[in-house]
Amino acid sequence: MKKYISVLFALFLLAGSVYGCADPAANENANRGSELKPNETVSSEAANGTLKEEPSADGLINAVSQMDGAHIQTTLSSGVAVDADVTILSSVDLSSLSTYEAILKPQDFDKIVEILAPESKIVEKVTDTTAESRLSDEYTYATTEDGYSIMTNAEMLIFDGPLFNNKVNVVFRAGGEEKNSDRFLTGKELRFATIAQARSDIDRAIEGFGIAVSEPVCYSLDYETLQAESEKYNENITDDAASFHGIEPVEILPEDECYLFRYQLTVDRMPIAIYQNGVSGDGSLTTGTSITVCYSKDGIVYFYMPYEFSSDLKKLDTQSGIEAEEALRLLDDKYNSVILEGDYLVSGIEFEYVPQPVKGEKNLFTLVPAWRLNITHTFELAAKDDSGNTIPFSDTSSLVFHAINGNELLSDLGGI
Amino acid sequence: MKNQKNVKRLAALFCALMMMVSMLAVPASAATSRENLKAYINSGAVVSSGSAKKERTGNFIYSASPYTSDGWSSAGNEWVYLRGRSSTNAQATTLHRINFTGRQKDGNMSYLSGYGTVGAFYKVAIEYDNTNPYQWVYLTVTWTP
Repeated sequence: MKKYISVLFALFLLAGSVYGCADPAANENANRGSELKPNETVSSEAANGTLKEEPSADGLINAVSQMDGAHIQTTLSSGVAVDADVTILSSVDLSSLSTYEAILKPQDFDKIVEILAPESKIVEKVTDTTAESRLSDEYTYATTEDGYSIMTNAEMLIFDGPLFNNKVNVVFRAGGEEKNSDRFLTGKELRFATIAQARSDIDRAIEGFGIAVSEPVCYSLDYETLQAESEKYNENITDDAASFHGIEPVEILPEDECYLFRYQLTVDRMPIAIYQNGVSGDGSLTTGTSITVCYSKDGIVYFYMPYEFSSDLKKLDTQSGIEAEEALRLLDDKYNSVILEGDYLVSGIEFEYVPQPVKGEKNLFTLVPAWRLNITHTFELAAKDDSGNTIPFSDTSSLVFHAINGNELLSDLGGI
Repeated sequence: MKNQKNVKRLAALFCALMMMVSMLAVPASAATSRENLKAYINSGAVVSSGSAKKERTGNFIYSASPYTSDGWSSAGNEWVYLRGRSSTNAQATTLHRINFTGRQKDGNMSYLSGYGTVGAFYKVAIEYDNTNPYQWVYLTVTWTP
């Protein structure tokens, strides 16, 4: 009996150690299909969000470069300060603004493979149901022999691999309390390729998909800065979290250097909103879109796009639009009608086309020209220690106005 | 005969132990994200800027702890709502209401129907409970979708 117990103990230890070292992808791939649940009632557009949503690593929010724009610095009658770049594509003619009708374009899985992973051998491909799509309740997920994966749920496209998932996505912060993206906005040429060479390869891929974009923002994720930022991340790994989640310190190697590009999508040379818009619960909530690409010594190692519109657009009408200054006047009117607590600063003004779903239609949108005013609100809240002291906080939000009729495009992203 | 019975018992015990191991452990390299999040009274939800890829089947697991010493009252009287979100910011998991009593708060939330797609990226959202005796929290949230 003792012999059996010894054997059992040894097997147990062996199994435990094997499990701990196993490739999780391999384990998960074996079971993936069985736990995916069909969705009949939850729509990805029926959920709540928040105006305070910060840009994500897969959604870097930054003004698209090479714009014709101005800078406005003033204080409005409501007391709201303005210190903002006006970001508007040079192709936008405010004296002749059109409204469009557009439909989402479904992604073609084979084309994604052909363009982004032509040399990779697909080792597993799963098709199952999802609620995360407007176009289809089906999604496809595939993994390649060299460690990449491709996912599309009809309109969305994700191509990713270990460098992005385990390092870049962990260390690079485009928003939130630990935002560090500005540290990488250096224009630095990396050792493995120039920005122009990387851009050329990426542009070829985007052209292959037939997607229209404007000039990108490029972040240079150089070894030294990545290393420094990874150390900050590693310092804050607590033992409890490491134990519960199996977190390991991020180790940055010289060959992990990469570029991160962010492209704003356009239709008819008009920029599509990269931010979420609409009202929770009435079917109008729409996420923003853009293309984010990570380019390393291995070429494109990450490509993400929430959706694109088909180039088959219907122009509804064309009218003259309002200037950025008029949008600021609309904001001032609104803020003059309420009591403001704390300080408000308009820190950015952006022209964009906001997709608004047509009621009763699953795949039909009106693209509305709009001015987005990004607002930083600083205020104080009471400390928790009954000392009577206050602690400063800041918050970001935005107001969006229709660029033709001046109506506010409501954003009510609901509760949690 | 007796030996065969023992072998069967041991095999069953071994299987049970293996099941326990698989229930308790998160694969060492499963994609995890961590973020410091502030939430205020009467201010709605705050969604993480970052997201993590779902690389395994199963529930959305999280840990929450105060980021600063006064970030989250350890008296257990400061409640925070927490939920997983899809990359398009849709509600993706059930809702949890959590407090802090001096130890990291761990939990797991099941996915709503149609969510929990392996290969997709998930964020986390928190919201301050407006009935709390304070006005804000400052948390570190770690999540593995």
